[in-house]
Amino acid sequence: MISVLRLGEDAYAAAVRRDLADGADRDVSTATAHVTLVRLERRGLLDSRESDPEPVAGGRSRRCFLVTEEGAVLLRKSRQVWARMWGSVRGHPVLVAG
Amino acid sequence: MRSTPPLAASRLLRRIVSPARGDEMLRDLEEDYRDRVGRGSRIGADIWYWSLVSRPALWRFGLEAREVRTLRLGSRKSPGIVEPAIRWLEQTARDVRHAGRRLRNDLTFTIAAGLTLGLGIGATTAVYSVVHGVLLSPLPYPEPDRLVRVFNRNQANQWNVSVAGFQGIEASQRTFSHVAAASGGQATLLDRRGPALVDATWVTADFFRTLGVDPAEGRGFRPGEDRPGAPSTAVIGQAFRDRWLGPGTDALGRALTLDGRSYEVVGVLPASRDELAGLHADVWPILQLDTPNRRGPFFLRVFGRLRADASLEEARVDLDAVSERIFPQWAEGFSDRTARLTPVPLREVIVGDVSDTLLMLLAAVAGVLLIGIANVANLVLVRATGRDREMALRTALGATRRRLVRQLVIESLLLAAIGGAAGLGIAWLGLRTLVATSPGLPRLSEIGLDGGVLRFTALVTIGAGLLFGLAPLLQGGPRHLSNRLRGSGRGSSAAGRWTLVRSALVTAEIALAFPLLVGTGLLLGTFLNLQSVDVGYDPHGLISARLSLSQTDYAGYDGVIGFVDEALRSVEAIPGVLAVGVSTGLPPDLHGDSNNFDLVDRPVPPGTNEHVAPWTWVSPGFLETLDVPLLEGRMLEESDGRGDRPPVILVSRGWAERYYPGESAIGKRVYAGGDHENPMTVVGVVGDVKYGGLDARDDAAVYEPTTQAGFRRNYLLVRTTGDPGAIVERVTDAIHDIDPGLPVSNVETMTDRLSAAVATPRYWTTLIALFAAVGLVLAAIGTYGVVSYFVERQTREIGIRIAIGAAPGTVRRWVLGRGMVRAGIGIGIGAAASLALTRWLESLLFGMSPTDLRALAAAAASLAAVALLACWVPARRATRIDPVRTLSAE
Repeated sequence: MISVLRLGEDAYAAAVRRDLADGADRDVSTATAHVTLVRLERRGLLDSRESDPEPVAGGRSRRCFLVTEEGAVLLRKSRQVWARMWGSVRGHPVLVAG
Repeated sequence: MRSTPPLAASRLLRRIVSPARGDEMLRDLEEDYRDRVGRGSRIGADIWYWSLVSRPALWRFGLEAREVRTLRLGSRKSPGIVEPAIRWLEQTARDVRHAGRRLRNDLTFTIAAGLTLGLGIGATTAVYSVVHGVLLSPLPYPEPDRLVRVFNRNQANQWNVSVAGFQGIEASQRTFSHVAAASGGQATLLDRRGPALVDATWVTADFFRTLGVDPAEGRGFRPGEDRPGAPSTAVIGQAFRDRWLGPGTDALGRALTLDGRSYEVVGVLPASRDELAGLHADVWPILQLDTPNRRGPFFLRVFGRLRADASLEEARVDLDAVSERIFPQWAEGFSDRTARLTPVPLREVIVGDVSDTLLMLLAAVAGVLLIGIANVANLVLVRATGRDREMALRTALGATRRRLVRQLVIESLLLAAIGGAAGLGIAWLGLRTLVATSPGLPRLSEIGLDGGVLRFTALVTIGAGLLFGLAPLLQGGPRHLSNRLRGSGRGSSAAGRWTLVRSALVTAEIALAFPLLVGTGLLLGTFLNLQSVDVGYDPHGLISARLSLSQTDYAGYDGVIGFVDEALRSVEAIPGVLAVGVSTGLPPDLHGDSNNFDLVDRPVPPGTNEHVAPWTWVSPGFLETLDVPLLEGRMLEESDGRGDRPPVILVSRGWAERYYPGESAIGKRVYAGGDHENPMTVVGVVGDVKYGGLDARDDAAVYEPTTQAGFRRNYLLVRTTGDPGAIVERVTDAIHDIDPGLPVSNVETMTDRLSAAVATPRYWTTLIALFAAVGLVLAAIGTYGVVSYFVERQTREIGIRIAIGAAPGTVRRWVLGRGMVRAGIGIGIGAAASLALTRWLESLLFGMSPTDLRALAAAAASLAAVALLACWVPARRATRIDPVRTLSAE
């Protein structure tokens, strides 16, 4: 869902896959990304639309996803939880460099 | 270069994911596909794309998209069997991927095991294809079990049917819906390209209807077309039509000239039908039978299709009654009242006595497969010792024994599948070789890698995978895990069990290889015995050729004899020709005919069968050309059988000893072929010659002068100085000077004929020897592996022994002893098994007993020698262990 936010209007499955591989160092297949995006849409956390066709000969449109309000609420909550949990271990010897 | 994914895979994916979602996903996947093509190769991208079809996650997604919650069973509230099934598939897919990675990381093991399995599975599949095509699959006719062949049979013999017999069957039988007769041979085809010999089988009108075969073009024969005087028609084979007129040319209505007679082509058979009911022919002309004036000759092959409500036993009883009805009509010339027309299932006739041989071959190749599986099991066990800790750790982390077994089984099945795939390739190649080199297997065109064979291969592959895959489980259960985790591998009871299992496998391999070697020895002995049989003549410097005079050009006796006389004179005059003759038969396996006869001074009791002997019509000089010795009396002369001269015959020594033991046969007289008015006088006794094959027991033969019969089909035999092949053209020219339209065919040297006579035993012996060699090599590899493993496991102990003063010879003997004891046990078990199994070979042996001690001893010695060699290398390695280094490593 974070990847969908980052990609903005170009959040289709293949782009999400590339973003996760580059940005989050997670290797998932396009099929898995597509399946996950559709399931998130089914749960109401994402919405989708057909994009305009690519401006090349034979260009195709794609199904692009965007975060719904419900999805945004979930992301904000998730960020709060993560921030709280990480905050509780700030300064832990294991995490201090050197 | 194509930059779109494979269309078939896309269609499949769209159906799996659901049409509603499929297009969207495919668009995304196409971009991935293009990336992969750009980064690597199109083939790699194609493989990745196809692999998506097998992803359980996509199947689950497709079911969700279709809102499928249950599948036939279960309710909307319970998950039914869909969810567990998907989970099982996902888990299996993970295990398969994991197993694939492991096999890829251990390529040496994978290749060794895959090749060993491939060899065993491939050989087994190839042989099973032959067994399946020849023995197991039904004949390619509608309701093939209702087809029979009718023979004359008495207590001693079985022979074909005569015209009188066939017409008797046609007139009064009640259990066949259709009955037909056939007479096979060769005919001279005359067309614009000149004369040529073709395979021709003359058949009566109901032949194709009896078999249930319809021509692909035109029609079969109509009822009544086989009556004398009806128009002459013929059906031809498709391959012949393509050769004669060109592929696809319309042959219907064309005139076909065979042996000087014209036939109108009315039908063309389908492409696969060059062989019907065991008869191979290019052309099938109509057989029109005149009313006979005697019971013989017996040259017809008679076929029948049982009515739907009739059984084979009912047909036998009915034909018995027919035999009784026709007997008095011909009793004067045929007095054997015990002879009965008898139905035999057609499949039995076609397959003949090859079933024993094929089953023996299948058993042999199964032995090789089992040895291969044992070898792979050994490899798997060795590999498994390296995974002890991994398995122990997984169990400690929560994997159940069931899960571990499942992973082992999947890995084994994947390995077996690799072996199976390699095996199919080997089988395809092996089958082509088997079929191309086979000396006359029946139903050759029906042998192939069809559905039944592939199902067999799949079963064998899965069975092999399970057999060697479960071997590691013999190590024991979780109670040994604590040992594993503590790292106490050597010297533990589990290690001892490993060695026991592996040793038992090697013992089993040697026991399996033993009967293979014994079988090879017995067949080799048979082959050598056949080669050293005294055939009764000198085959060197001899060539033979077939001359078939046409019925139209040589309708009368004078024409035939005139040709024969002139041909002999012309050929004899060729420089380099030492002697020449003609005959209706050729040794060692082609006697012209059999004839029944009775001794004038010792007739058989009335109502019993007359004697039967191979009967060959020869010209004067034929036996001299063969270099057959004259033992008593005289050879045939030019004047024999001409004019008013009384009929004479020559007999072989075997004939004379059988019918006139202890006295001379010269001057004795016989009635031949049921003719009790014109006895023939024996004027000479000659040496025995093989006519019934090299393993024929019966040496009684009769020679009648050609002039006493005038047959149109003869073999020309020429003895030359120097190379017989060099004289062929001049002989052919000499024949064509007399009759330019006469084909001279089947030209071969008599040494080649002799070699062809042992082609069949040579073929089977070579195959068995090949399997035995493969089995021996695999058993040697297995033995070497086990003894090497033993040396590796016992390095510490060997080091100690050397350190405290054991001589290298002592160490070597200790190691050799371990290996040779197991080999010895295997040889003992194998010898006992051989004594039980080799009696099945009895029908294939000649001059050898199934329990021949030389073959047993040779097999034991070979195995012992090979085992010794396999043990020697690791034994020598053991003597070189450095005790200092070994003990310091501890």
